[in-house]
Parts: sequence; structure tokens; C-alpha cells
Amino acid sequence: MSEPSLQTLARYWALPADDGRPVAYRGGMPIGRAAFYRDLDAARRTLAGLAPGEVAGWPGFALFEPDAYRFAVWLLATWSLGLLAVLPGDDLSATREALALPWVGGANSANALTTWDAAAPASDADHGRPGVMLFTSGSTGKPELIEKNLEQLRAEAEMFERAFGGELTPETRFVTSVPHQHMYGLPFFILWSLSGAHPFVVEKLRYPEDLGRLQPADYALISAPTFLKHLVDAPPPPAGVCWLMATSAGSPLAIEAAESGAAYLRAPLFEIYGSTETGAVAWRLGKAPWQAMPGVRLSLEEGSSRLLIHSPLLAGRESVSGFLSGDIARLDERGLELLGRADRLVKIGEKRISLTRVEEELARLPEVKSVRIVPLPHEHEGDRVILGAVVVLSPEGRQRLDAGKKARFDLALRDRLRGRLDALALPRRWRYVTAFPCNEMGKVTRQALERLFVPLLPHAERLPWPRGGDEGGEAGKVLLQLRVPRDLAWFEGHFPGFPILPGVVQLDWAAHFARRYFGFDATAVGVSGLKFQNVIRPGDEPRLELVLRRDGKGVEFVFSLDGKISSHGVFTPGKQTADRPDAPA
Amino acid sequence: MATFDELIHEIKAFIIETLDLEDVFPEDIDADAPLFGDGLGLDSIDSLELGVGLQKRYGLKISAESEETRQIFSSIRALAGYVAEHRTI
Repeated sequence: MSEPSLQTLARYWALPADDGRPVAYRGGMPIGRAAFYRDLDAARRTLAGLAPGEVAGWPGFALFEPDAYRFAVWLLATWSLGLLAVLPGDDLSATREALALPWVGGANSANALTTWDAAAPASDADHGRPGVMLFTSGSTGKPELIEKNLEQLRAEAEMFERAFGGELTPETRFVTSVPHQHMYGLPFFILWSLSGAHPFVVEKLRYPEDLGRLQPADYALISAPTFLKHLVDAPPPPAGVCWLMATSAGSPLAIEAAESGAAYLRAPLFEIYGSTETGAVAWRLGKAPWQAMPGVRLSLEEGSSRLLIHSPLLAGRESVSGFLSGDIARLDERGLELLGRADRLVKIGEKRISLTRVEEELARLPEVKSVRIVPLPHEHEGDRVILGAVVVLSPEGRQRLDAGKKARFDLALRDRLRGRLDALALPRRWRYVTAFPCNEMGKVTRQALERLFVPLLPHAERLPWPRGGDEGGEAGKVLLQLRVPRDLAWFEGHFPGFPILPGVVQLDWAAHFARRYFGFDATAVGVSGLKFQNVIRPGDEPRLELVLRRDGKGVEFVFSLDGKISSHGVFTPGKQTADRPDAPA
Repeated sequence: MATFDELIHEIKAFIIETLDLEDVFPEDIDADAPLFGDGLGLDSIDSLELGVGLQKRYGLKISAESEETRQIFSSIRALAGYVAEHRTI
């Protein structure tokens, strides 16, 4: 073991020498500091025997380890070798392929801690170099690699101790419901507890019931709105369990959850405002104005009222005037008030539309419990943007939707907004959900919301009937030029690597357009003469010919691509050679 | 030649197709309700798209923002009447 470098690191993180106090608790059993140092040393030797990869010019490893204790060990070992840890959000195979780095942690290398036996070269940590790179879980949904150096990480852990350390005792155990590989769990749960020499509980809180199984001790809860809002259902704290404080971050905490959470814990529940890029910026209790974190200075950009952040955590990354956030704010002597995202303005036509405003207007309707608006590019008509509404209905709204047709309900909601919003701001696409889709941080990402609008139908344009002269004109004949969207929902998994349009979907489309153009209800009839001859693939532009039979009781359909028939059949009463498909799952 | 009711149905399908109205079928649209404002609630960009579409489909030239245009777009029925009378395709 190379004592000097590890001691440097220990001092750096203010880890006291083995004072008999545990670093963590696993299954209620303490893991002492001596064991922690032994594990660190083993991890260092393992890593020293691995050839590091390179990210943005720095040598390092990808670290993914669901176990919080092992994660902490690998992380400190990586740093003590002067290496960088890239922290992916998951270890899915796609992520592994995208990160061309040696992978440390997880089930595959859990045993490696004791089996590798290479000599460890010593190197003192250079505190200015990057310590971790993480992926943001920003509201744009696009992962972005963010770099944090050791100085920033240490400064953040110190900031928390200064802001909230007064609430804690040295024995206070940290326990969390959030992942530790993101820029909330990492500094708040792992680094704060390590640097402040507070032990942490290895086991994550998954469900409110887990709170009833805690050992008697003082606790600090590092959590997020998705977990905190369920505290109303949690069993009462076991005897001897005492909460000293809690934090919430990742997404806005509803006032009901803030109040019920604080009441359950009988402790202050601090909501944290910040981002992966900026670190923690401000805190508040309940709905009181936000207060800047120690060392953070706030101002507003003139004109736009966007929040400017001056923070030691930015470490030179801000301009002279500060880090320009995407949030519009108001500042006065009472503190900070956040007024919404600057980027929640979209231009439709020549008008600037505030998505927040549209959401507010919709939320006033008795049918609506809560709503998110997503701007959607409108594929075929130039560059116009249309708005999609993802709505959680109130019981009243649900009742009305169930009582009639979705299209009429959509139009009725649009109707209610008219006069309150510009016609351009009226949502065009409606999705009714029981809850918003969100990731494990409890963040409703734009990506997840957009997925709800993945197209199910092709774009169709009607063409003149090519053989207009024969058989008495065009009546009852429709020729459509289709464009099959590449992101069509039906291609998912059908088939991996070779997406083709499922036959049942072709039938469904033929039925859909027969209804649109002829009012023909294909659900009540069978299909005969059905044949699939050539495949249709993403981005293809097939044509669909529909002919209503003279007696009005049947519709012939032909899909063709470049003059070659893809499939054909007849919707007709009587003999059935294939069942009409249900909507594919 | 198609009957007037068939033409009304066709115009409804044309509007649904041109404006990519989701989950809406011709039977959901009231032939006498206004296209803009109350009723379908189409917006100014839609009127442009409809104008272009009408020219392509029926060979109609509709001048923007005239009083006549307002009249033509006042309902599906009014639009169908105009199409029946003035179509060149």
C-alpha cells in the first residue's frame, strides 16, 4: 500500500484516521474505517493492473456500481491513482457500446476487488484535473457529458456542510432513495457523508415501507419528489429512528409533498435548486423564497431576467458576469423566486408562445388535473411547430372522455381554451395518461413525453385517380401517396436490425383510410384475398389504392411501392380468410 | 359525378388530411360549424395550408384575407359549395 498518496487523499476528503467510527452500514452492520482502507487498497491494486482508456484526453475508467459502498471505494481508488471516473447513468449494452472504456464495477467485477494483485503505483491527486465525468439528466433529455474536477466536488461537499451541517450530529446516518451516479446523489449522499465523516446506509430506500425497517439511529434523508410524495403512505418511524433533516432535488417538489414530507419526518425538508452544470444553487423550505447556498451569488441578466449564477462550484466555467441559467427569476431582499424556463418559449408562425402559459390555462379547466405541453415538429407542412398536450385528467375529465369519442373530447378542450390563448397556441395532439412518464430521478423528461407522440399512421396525400376515365369516374376511388415515418411506433422490435411494416398494420391503415374517405366501417367485416408480396420499410413512400365496391359493401385495397404490389386484399362481408387485427401492442 | 353530400364528406377528409388532424374522422366534423374560431378552431397557418391544398386538389385560387375568403371558409358546407362551383380539376 502506498501510504502517502492515500493519506493525501484521506486528508483531502477530511477522512479521519481510523477513529473506530463506521464509514457505512450494510444490513445494519457497521463497515469500519480500517475495512474501508483495506478495500480501497485492494481496489487501487485492481485498477493499477488495468489499462485505463481515454476520455477527452484524460485517462480513466467507466464506473457503474449499484452498490453505494463499492461505488465509493472504486471512486476514491480511481481518484487516488490520478484517474478519471466516467459515471454513466446505466449499464445497458447500448451505453457500454457507446463508452469505449474499461468498465469498472457492477456484477462482473465485484469479486475483482480481492483477486487482482498488481503493484500500485503511487500518484498524488492533481486537484485541478477532472475527477468525474457525468451525463446530465437535463430536461432536454439529451445526455451531455459534464466534467467535474476534484476541487469542484470538494467545494460542493463543503458547501453542504456549511449550509446544513448544523442540523446533523457526527453519528447521523445518511440514507437515500436516489441513484448515486448522478450529480445529486454523488455530492449529497456519497461525497458529503464521506467528507463530513458521516456514515451512510448502503441499502437504497426503494419504497416507503423501507422506512419502517430502519435501525434506531439519527438519519438524514437524501431524496427526491417521487419518493417524498409517498411518505403519506409510509409506516410510522420505528422507535428510536429520528430524522434530523431531508433534502429534495431533481424535480420540483409539490407543496403538498413538501408539507406532508416534513410532517412525517418531523424535520426540515430542504428543497434544492441546481443542475448538473451548476451544482447546488439555492435551497428553500416549503414555498418560502429560495435562499442562495453559502458562497453563491445571484443576479439577473438585464432585459431577459434570466438568473445569473456566481458560484465556487463553477470553477471558472462562468463568464465574468456569471453562469447564465435557463430560468427566469425575480430577486429581492426576501430571496429568489423562479418564474419558469426561458426556453419554454417557442415560435409558431411569427408568434412567441409560452408553453408555461398554455399549461397554466389548461390546468384551470375542471377536466384537467395536470398537464405538460411538448412542442412537436410538424413533419410534412414546412417548419411549423404544433403543440402536444400530455394530460392527467381529473375524475370529471376522465368521465367525459370515457363517455364519448377522443376526437370530440380533444376538440372540446381546444374549444375551452379559445379566447384565452392565441389560436396558434392551441394544442393539436392530445395524450391522456394516468401519470407523466418519468425517469428514476423523478424527472419528467421531454424525451419521455415526446415518445408519447411517436406516429402510428403514415402521412397521406391524396392524388388524382390515374385512370379517371374508366368505369364512370373517380367516385369511390382514392389513391393516396403515403410517407412512412422512420420513427413509426410499429417498427420497434419488428424486427431488430431489419425494420419492416407489419402486415396487420397495413390492414389497419387500409381500414383507417377506408373510413376516412368512404365512411366505410371495416371493423364489422372480414378480409378476403389477402396477400403480402413485398415488404415496406421505414422512409418508404408506398401508394395505397382504395376502391369502394359499387354496392358500397366492400373496399378493395392495394399497397404498392415503385409500381410493385406490396400487399392487397378486400374488406368484404361474409367469407373471412383473415381476422381483422387488433391494434398492435 | 359525386353528390353534394359526397363532396362534403370529401372536403372533410381533405381537411383532415391536409392539416393532419389526429384521431378525427369526417363524421366528427359538423358541416355547418365554422372552420376558424369556434368549431374546428383552425389557425392562420392552417388557412394558408388549406389555400395551397385547395389549389393543388381542385385548381382553386383563393386570394388571402379577402371578405370572400372569409365567406368560403365559414363552414365545410360553404367551402363545398364554392368547390362545386369553381373547381377546375
